[in-house]
Amino acid sequence: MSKTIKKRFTFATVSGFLLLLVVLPIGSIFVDAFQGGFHAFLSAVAQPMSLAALKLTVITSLIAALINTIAGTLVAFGFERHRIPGKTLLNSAVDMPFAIPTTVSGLTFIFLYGPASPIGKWFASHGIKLMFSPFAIVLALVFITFPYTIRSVQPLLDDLDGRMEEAAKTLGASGGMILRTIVLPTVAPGVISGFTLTFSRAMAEFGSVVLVSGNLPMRTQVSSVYLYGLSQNYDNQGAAAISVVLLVISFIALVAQFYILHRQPGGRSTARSSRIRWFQRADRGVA
Amino acid sequence: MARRAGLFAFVYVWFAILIAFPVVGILFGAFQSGVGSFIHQLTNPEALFSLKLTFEVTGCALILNTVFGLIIAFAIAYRQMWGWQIANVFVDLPFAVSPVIAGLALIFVYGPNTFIGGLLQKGDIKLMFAMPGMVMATMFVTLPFVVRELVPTLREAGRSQEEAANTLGASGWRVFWSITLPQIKWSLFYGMILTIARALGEFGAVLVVSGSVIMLTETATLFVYQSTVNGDMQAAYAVSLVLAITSFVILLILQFVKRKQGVNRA
Repeated sequence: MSKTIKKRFTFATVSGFLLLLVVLPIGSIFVDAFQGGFHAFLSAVAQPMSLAALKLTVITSLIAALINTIAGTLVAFGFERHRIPGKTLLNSAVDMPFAIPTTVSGLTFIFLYGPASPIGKWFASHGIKLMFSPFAIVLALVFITFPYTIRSVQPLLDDLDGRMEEAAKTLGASGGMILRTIVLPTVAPGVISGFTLTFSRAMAEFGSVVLVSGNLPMRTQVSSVYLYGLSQNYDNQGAAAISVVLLVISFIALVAQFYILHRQPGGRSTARSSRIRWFQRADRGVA
Repeated sequence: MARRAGLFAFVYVWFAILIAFPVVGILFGAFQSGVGSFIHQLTNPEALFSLKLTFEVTGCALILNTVFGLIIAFAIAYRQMWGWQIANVFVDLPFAVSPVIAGLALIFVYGPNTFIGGLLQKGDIKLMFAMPGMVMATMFVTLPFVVRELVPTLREAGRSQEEAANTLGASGWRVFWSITLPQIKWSLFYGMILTIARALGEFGAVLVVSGSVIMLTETATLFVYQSTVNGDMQAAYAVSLVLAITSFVILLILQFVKRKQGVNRA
């Protein structure tokens, strides 16, 4: 095969494939959302049920992201700085939530904490409903996004040069000062990207949340479930409008992360390498 | 020292609550009414069909995404094509899109009431609410894996050896099989395993494009969902356990491949 033919073949295959599988479908979401004009888009988004779902989605995702960012950073410190006993086993277990299908995770939480389980019964007798509540949504989201922060902080701690801390120590810096001036600035990009990834992933979650939330409109229905409901009722324009809002929110989160990381001196390369590492490790989730 | 012990205690408790407890939960759920009932649930034709369909869809998506993933990865890694940067961005897009939205997007283009869908219907081809649509949805969500694994490996390996082989008169295929493939085989394998793992567990996108018709377009995750909604928990637990064990095996293979790759990717 001559070189130009090979090049043309590659171009035609790659562009054709991406066009049919990715570009046309995602483009059509935007086209359908604004089908009836900007006004129709706004009125679909401004429905009370849609706004309630959006609010619940953003709040539960933020809580889950906050919990996992703090816990994940601590776990990464336990792994990389203190050589926690049983690290090999725990380190492999981190990827468990990626590997388990999200519907299976949702079902497991119903089994453990649902109304028929001993734990669920005990809480119910004290007037607390564990499953089919906002708490259940946060629990499922924390489980699904468990690995993100750990995996984005770990490599940064691993790369941290121990000599810098030793130098600081010989110069008389206290433990707290070393943590503040050397360790925390190093891991900050990982913590920030961990938070953004967790948040975006939580916003998109469907499989586990649809099972554990109870899907009560205005109360426990998240946006992905709401837009699924719209599409089942043949309200394509409404479903597309909600999709656009979700896509824009994740996009804003990614752009914000980009700016925060680039403002920091030296943040660029670490941010990029942790992003690449994340892609290589690959997102098991988004189900 | 006390702070360190506190940190360790936190990590152990955190893993116990969020990892160990749910894993034990899946096992208990599946076997709570005995092994006999578990087997009975699994041999139910609907459950068997759904598992079979899941593996078929996964197989089709894996083959297609491996072939196209290789071509795309070469185009991006060697900057072989006009607009490779644009392709690079589009490959990542499925990561940022919720699967329900992905399914919906495919319906908007290939569904029965669309321009393309209408044309296909005239030719008696049905993409959505049938096997091809489910494969497409699975391909969409797993598109980045093979490409993302291959691009850095291809760039690292470089082209010098391939060019040397070329000048020595080796054909294109020969170069690919005996030089390129051995360099990238573990990364390719890793990407393929991730594709399988993600495809087996896919729910949102497949739910939207399949219509979830029993014994026709109901995959294993859809079966788990439908059974749970219908209150048939035993059936849901049984199929869940099969999916969970498959995921666990995949996790073990990934650990092994990562070691083979020789790169400690955190």
